[in-house]
Parts: sequence; C-alpha cells; structure tokens
Amino acid sequence: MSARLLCAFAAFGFSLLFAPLAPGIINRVKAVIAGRQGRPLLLLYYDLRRLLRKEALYPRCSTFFFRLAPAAGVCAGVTALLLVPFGPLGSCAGFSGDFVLVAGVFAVARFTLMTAAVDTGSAFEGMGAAREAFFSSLAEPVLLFCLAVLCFRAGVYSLAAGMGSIPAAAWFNDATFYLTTGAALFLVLLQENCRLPADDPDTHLELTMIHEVMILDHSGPDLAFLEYASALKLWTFCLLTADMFVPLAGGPLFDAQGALLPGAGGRAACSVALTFAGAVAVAVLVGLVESVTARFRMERVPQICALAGGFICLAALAYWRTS
Amino acid sequence: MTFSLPFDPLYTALSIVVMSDLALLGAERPRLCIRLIAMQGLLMGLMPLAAGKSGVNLYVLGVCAVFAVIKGMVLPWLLRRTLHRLPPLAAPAPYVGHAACVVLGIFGLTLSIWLGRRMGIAANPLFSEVFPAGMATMIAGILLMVTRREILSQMFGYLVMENGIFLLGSPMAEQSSLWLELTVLLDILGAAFVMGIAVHHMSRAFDAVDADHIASLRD
Amino acid sequence: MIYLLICLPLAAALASWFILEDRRRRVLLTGTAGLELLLALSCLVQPPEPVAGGALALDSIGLLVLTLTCTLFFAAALYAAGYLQSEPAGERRDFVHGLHFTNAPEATFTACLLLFLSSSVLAAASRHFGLLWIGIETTTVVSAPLIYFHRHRRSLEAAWKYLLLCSVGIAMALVGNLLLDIAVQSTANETVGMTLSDLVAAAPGAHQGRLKAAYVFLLIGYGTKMGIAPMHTWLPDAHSEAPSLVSALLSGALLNCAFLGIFRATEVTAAAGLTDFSDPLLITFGILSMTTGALFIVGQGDYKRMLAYSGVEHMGILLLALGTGGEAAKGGVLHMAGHSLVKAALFLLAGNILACYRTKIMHDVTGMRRLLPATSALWTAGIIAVCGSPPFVLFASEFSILEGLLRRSPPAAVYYLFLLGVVFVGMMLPAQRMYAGAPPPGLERPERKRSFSVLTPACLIVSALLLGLYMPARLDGLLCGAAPSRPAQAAGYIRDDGAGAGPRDDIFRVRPGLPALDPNAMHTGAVDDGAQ
Repeated sequence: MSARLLCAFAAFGFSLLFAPLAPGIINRVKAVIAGRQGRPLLLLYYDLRRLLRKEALYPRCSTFFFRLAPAAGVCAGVTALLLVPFGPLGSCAGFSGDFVLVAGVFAVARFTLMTAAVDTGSAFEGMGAAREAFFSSLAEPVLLFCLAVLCFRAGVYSLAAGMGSIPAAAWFNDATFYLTTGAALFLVLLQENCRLPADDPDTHLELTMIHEVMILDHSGPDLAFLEYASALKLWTFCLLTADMFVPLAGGPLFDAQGALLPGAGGRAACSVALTFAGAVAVAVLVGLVESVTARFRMERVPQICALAGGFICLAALAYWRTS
Repeated sequence: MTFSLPFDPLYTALSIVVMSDLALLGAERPRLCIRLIAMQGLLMGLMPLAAGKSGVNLYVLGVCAVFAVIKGMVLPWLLRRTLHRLPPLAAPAPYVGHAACVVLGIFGLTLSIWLGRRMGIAANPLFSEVFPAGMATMIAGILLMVTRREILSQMFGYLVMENGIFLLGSPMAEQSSLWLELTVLLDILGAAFVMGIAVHHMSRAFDAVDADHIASLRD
Repeated sequence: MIYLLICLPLAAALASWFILEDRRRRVLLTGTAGLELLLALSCLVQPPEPVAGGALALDSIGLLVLTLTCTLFFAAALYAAGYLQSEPAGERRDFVHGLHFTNAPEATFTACLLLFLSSSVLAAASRHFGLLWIGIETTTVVSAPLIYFHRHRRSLEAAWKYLLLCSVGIAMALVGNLLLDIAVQSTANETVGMTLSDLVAAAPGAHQGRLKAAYVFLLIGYGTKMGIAPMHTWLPDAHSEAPSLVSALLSGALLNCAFLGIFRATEVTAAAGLTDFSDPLLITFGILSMTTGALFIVGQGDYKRMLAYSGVEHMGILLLALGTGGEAAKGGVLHMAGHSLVKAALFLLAGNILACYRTKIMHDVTGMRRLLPATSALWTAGIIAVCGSPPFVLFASEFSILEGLLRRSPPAAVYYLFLLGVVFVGMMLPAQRMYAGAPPPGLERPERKRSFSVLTPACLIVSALLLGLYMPARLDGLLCGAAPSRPAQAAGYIRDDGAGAGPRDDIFRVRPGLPALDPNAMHTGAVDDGAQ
C-alpha cells in the first residue's frame, strides 16, 4: 500500500470519526451570532450514543423498505467518502467516472429514505417525500453538472483529478471558474443537506418540513443511523466545496506510484490540514448563511437550484471561453 | 518596481461585470439595481487603463477619473434622484420572471462567447478579450428593457447597454480618441438626464410606473 | 467656417435661455436661422476648407443635407415666430382627451430648436464616423423635449418612445462604429482614423466578416433613427404628437441626417467591394418600409399620422435607391431633397389645419377650400407632390429610381410601382375629401394673422415644383458628386478629401439606352462603360 493511499485511508477514518462534528459547528456559529451560548459542540455524539442504546420501534404497517433506509443512508455516506478526494491526497478508491457514482449513491440513499417515508402511510411523510423528490430532482442535475464540468476540465473523469489537487497557478488564472463552481457546489450543499434557505433542520412544523418530516417515525438505532448518514453527507459536501477553494501550492506531492516525493512531507501535511480546515470553514460559512437568511417560501426554493445552475453554467462558459 | 498580481486584472474585472449583469437581471429592488450599475460604472472608468495601450500618464488618468465619476457617480445619482421622485407604488410584475431573465442572460452570455469565438481573434486582441463580456452586458441591458414593466427599468437597461458598448469600445481607447469617448459619454449623460425628467413627468401624468399604462398611441 | 456653422446656433441656444422677453427670443431664433441659411448658401457657392484634420468637411451630400437643413430650419423658424405668438399661455384643454395641459417654457423650446440645428449641422458636416454619431445622438436628445412641447400625456408618451427607441437604435450604430474600427485595424496598435476618407482607403484590406457585422449594426442603428420599417414604431407617434413645425423638422431634417449615416456606411462597404452584401439588405429594408408605409397610409384616420407613414414609405424609397446604386442612387439623393421640402411644407400646413379644425381626424376635416383656401390649395398640391406626381421633383427622382430598379430587378420594380400606386390612392382620396365638401357647422373662417404660416410652406412647395421643372447645374453637380461610388471609382474617392464636388459628374452618368445588364455586372460594367 502506497504512502498516498495510506494517508487517504487515514483521512477517511478521520472523516468517519469527525463527521458528526459538522452540524455541531454550524449550530455553534449560529448560536454565537445570535448571542446565545448554544448547544454543546458534541451534541450529535451524545445523541447518537443515546439513540443507539434504545430499542427501535417500527410502525405496524411498515415493511422491509422502512428498515432499509437507515442502512442505505450510512452505506451511501461511507461509499461517497471513499470516493471524495481529501485535497492532494486524492481519494481512497477513485476511478474514472467515479463522480457519477458519488451522485448515484446519494440518489439511492434518498430513494430508500423516500420509500421509507411513504411506507409509513403517513400523509405528512408522504408530503415530505414528494417535496424531497421534487427539489432533489432539480439539485441532482446541477450537482452532476458541477462534477462533470470539473472532471471534463481536468481531462480525467475522476474526482481526485478534477478537484483534488488544483495547482495554485491554474487556480489564480481561472479564479472565476473555480469560484463560480465553488459557489454552485455550496448552493447545492445547502439544498441537498436541508440547510436553511431551502429547509430548516430545526423546524417543528410538519407542514413546512422536508427532510425532517420523513424521519419522524424512525427511532432508536435507526434514527441514529439516519442522523449519522446525514452528517456524513454534509461532511462529504463540505469536503467537495472546500476542494474548490484550497489550491495546491507548489508541485505535486506524490509520484505515479503514490510514494511521497522527497522533501514534500511538510507540504503534504500542510495541504491536508488546509483541506480539512477548509471543510470546517465551509461548515462555518453554512452557519453564517443560516444566521443571516430566512427560510424561503416553498415555491421559491427551486430558485436556489436555479442560482446554482446559473453559477455552474457561468463556470462552464468561463472554461469554454478560455479553451 | 513591478508589481504583479497573481490573477489577471482585466479578466477579473470582466467576470465581475458579467456577474453584475446577471445580478441586475435577477434583482428585484431598484435600489440594488442602481448600486450594481454604479459598480459597473466605476469598473468601466478603469477600463481604458486596463486596455493600457497608451501607457499611463496624467492625462489618461484624468480622463479615466472623469469616466469613473460620470459613470459611477453622476449617472447613479441621477437614477437615485429619479427613483426618489417616483410615487411609492409597488413595482408591476415583469413580463418575464426574474429567474427566467437570469437564464436568458446566461443564454445571452453563451451566445456572445460563441459569437466571439466565431469572429476569431481580431487584429486588436484586446477586443476579442472584452467582446463576450461587452456583448453579454449589452444583451443584459436589452433584456432589462424588454422584460420589465417599470419605466425606470427601461432607463436601467439603457445605461447597462451603454456600459456594454463602452466595454466594447475600451480596447480602442487611446490617448488620441479619449476625447471622442468623453463626448459620447456626455451625450449619454444628456440622454439619461432627459429620460429622468421624462420618467418623472410620466409617473405624474399617468399616475403609474407601469409601461403598460403608457400606451394610448397606436394605430 | 464649419466651426462657425456649428457654433452660431449653439451660442444662440445658450443666449435664448438668458433672454427673458419672448419677442426678442423669437427675433433671435429667426435671425439665427436666417444667418445660418446665408452661411450655408455661401458654402454652396464656395465649399469651405476641411477642418479638424478632415473630420469636419462638407462633401457633396453633406453640403446638400446642410442646405436642406438650414432651409427647412429657416422656414420652421419663420413659422415658429407666428406659432409661438398664437399659442396661449397658461393651462388649456386638450382637444382629444379633454385633459388640462400647459406648454413647455418657450425659452427651453427655442433653445432646443437651436441645439437641434447645431447638432444636425454637425451631423451633416462631419466626415468622421464618431462625430456623425455624436451629432445624430444629440439631435435625439434635444428633439425629445421639442416633441413634449404641449405637456400632455400623448406627447409625453410619444417623446418617451422616441427617446428610448432612438437612443437604443443609435447605440447599435455606436457598436457598428466600434466594429468598423476593429475591422479596419490590421495590427493591434495601428491607429486608423475614423474619417470617411481614411476608412474608404482602408476598406479594401479590412476584415470582411467584421465589416459586414459593422454594416448591419450601422444599418439597424441609423435605420431606427430614420424610421425604417421594423424599427419605425416611434415615428408616427412622434410626428403626430409634436407641434407641427417640429414634425416638419423631424421629418425634413432629422431623417436626412440618419440617412446620411447609412449613406456613409454604404460608401465604406462599397469601397470594400461588399456591395453584394449591402445591396440586398438595403433593398429588403427599403421594400419592407415602403410596404409598411403603404399599408398604414391606406385607411389612416389621422392626417398627421398619414404624413408620418408617408415618411416611412419615402425612407424606404431612399434605401431602395441606395441599394440599387448607379443612376438610382443619384435619384435617391434628389428624392431626399424633394421629400424634405414637400414633407416639411405638408407638416406646416397640417399645423394650420389643426389650428383651425382642432382635430387630427381626417373624417372631421371637410370643406377646407371654404375655411382655409390658401392652405387647402397648398395641401392638395403638396399631397400630389408627395405621391410623386409629374410636375414636382419627386416624380423625377422616383422615375430615375424606377429606371435603375428595372435594370437591377424587374419584379422589385413592379412591386415598387404597385406600392407607389397604393400610396397615391391612399393619400389622394382623403385629401380630396378634406378639400371638398361643406365645412363642419360651427367653424368660422379664421381671421388671417399669420401670413408666414402660409407663405413658408408655399415657398417650399414652389421650390419643389421648380426643381422638378429645372435642375440647376450646381445642384446637379452636387447630386452626381453625392451618388455613392461603386468599386470601379473607389480610386476617385481616395483622392477626394471632402472638399466638395469636383467636376466629376460625367463619370457617373450612365448613357441612356444602355442595354440591360444582369444585376451582378451592373456595378462595374455599366459604370465603366459610362466612363469611357
């Protein structure tokens, strides 16, 4: 196993461990801005521990689909994390065309969640599922387009090549491209992870919920799995967005076999740290956005996707112009 | 001493201009539109410097400062004044929604990049650089004019269009032709002034800021 | 001299803001107009030296446009003196909607009139594309307040439409100018002057695609200002709502300036050998405008709008003539002159009719021969003239355009004749109705206070008649010098530094009875033959 792969798996393990921190960071930022003390940073860990100890209850009419969703969600998150590049380390299991898989596993997770919601037979959950289906049908093409444009630009159809290690010179040369792509990814992040302008994760009114309403009937370890899955998804998107804003200064760090080039150790450590710091910064940014915006009316939510689509179209045009 | 930026200033400025075009198309509040136009205007004032054909000297700097002041301050001031004198009526819904307008703007950008590529590199390569942005700004201005129903928006559209044309003209800006651009700009200032007065009179005469109400003449 | 021509009205405009007394201001207006006309006539005798490095120079067509503008302005100024006197001060009722309105301040009106003169002289005298643009754009800006002299809703709407549409159109022409500059540049730092002579010299080596794009933009841009068909929508509104003397200036002087823009652009494309590209465009737009004009003239209920649509039709004829080239182009230039004279006279007369009948609806205007004998006679004569009937100059010009068109493309010629016929019927029938019949009850024959209101249009119509009967040699020389050169004479143009028409008129003559050539060979073949 090469040095690069070793490091990548280390980062993968680190991500699995620390993903539940991201919602905590967002909440803390919102609390600080609002002048409150806020919930503990590690609240999600406590919640997960508490939920895992409990017994899972299932609605009487529910079937296999209801039980499938939590497992599928976590599987999707883990698979996506295996494919997402950790800055210049690259990804654990990247291959040509992996960006389609990233979008695909999230789609599968969403599909199972929606079937689980419909499976309960609750009108509210069905409504949530319908909304989720509508909004994600807008967000998904945008996400795929973002990733495809990046890969197309790199000429290699893998995420690691497309967004993992962007040389600083290229980044500054085409700042417009990367900034607009980053903006598009960030907006998709807000939409896909049910953050504020699109959906309020803290809402308690079923009529306005999207994501939260679908998991109303899950309990115990199932709910823990779902919460963990959404934390993983948020972390994955934070990483993807951060990759756009953290270019790699200097030359490559690893050779073709994945061995660390001599004298690049310090830089490698630095850039990996920067990538993770970037992901945390994206989480902070989400918190900032959530503190200053109000939730959109339901019929205006598609505008977020439209805006993201606009940004990615601009990026594609910027690329087309210079190519 | 030479100072080099890590990014291309011209390209960055053009990107900002294009972004502000799209923002203008999506903006719903006239105040924001005026701010965006002012920002565009200030950038336009710097364009002859970015073109940098004649080198930077006191004369060029002075004329550019005048451009920036007229485009970035006087025209927005004129717009703000007109806006203040309008009755506080709710803006009528546009013919084409704001989101659709942004999409059209992106389409316009695509079209102008395509046109720029088709036209090939001109003898003056700077022109080919600014062409897509300038053309897209023009299209955005025209879109503003034809999709909105407030009369003030038509004025916005005209000014944005002129910004686009100014952008297209900036590669030709050199010491000997700056006077011409200045005269053109003064002409546009005059036109904007007369338009401002006309908007004010129309809002009083028709009790509306809606272009649909102003259609009594037809065959 | 040219500076004087431009600055004299400018100074007078500034002065008119500071003159408080109305009577003195009117004297200033007519005095300036008279002086300007004298200056223009002296230019006709002795063409002035080019100034500003050839950017400002009076070549043949410039001289023609200048003379026409100054003549019409003088006529309008004489008319204005009486008109302004008869306009009551204070609030009064609009006779269409019954709304109250006031007039714009007279000082502003006079100043704008004078500024209009100054800017259209600038447009006529500039051989520099940038300056030409500035002149034409300035005419837009200063004539919008003129349209809004009677401050009521309709004139405001017309002024707004005019201002917005023409500004946007003219902006297109600015893009055309920029593209033209780009097209003739062959290296990045080369500076090509934007004067006509420079451009004509540089045109053969220009980038053809960009030159074509530039031409399209210029055609659309100046075409908007000229009232070419798809972009003409402002024209009937502006011409019908403006005070009559302003309508006369707009359609007599302003449209010519815009035509000058297209004319100059065509000269450049002709020098680049792109007539195959520009001619079909011109002919298409020309036919389209003529058709639109004819369609709207027939059954038109408003006599000022009828005149306006006739303007659209005549602008179409001008483009058609320009696109046909050769003898037809010369006819086109003559047509421009004739149309200006007759149309301005008609608008002034329409002002008289409006003042008497207080309506613009043709149906309500009957028995003019009883109420307004002089005006009605002139009106009928003017309508006959504007339809292109024999004794007047417009017949000669339309005939020579027909001649050129017949050689170029017979179907177009047939269609052209058909449209002329439609317009003839469409204008003559209502004119006859207005002339004859009994006047509407309750209207008295107005007492004659303003002799200039009849005298000035009479002079204009008589001059159109005289031009139709006898062509002065000087004017003929101007026309020949003005007719755009075709590639075969491009060399002659390079030598022409704008100092006016040389005795080159015979070069452009096409011998009568020349066998019909196929359209493609027309440009070079026919003219070469004539030059031998």
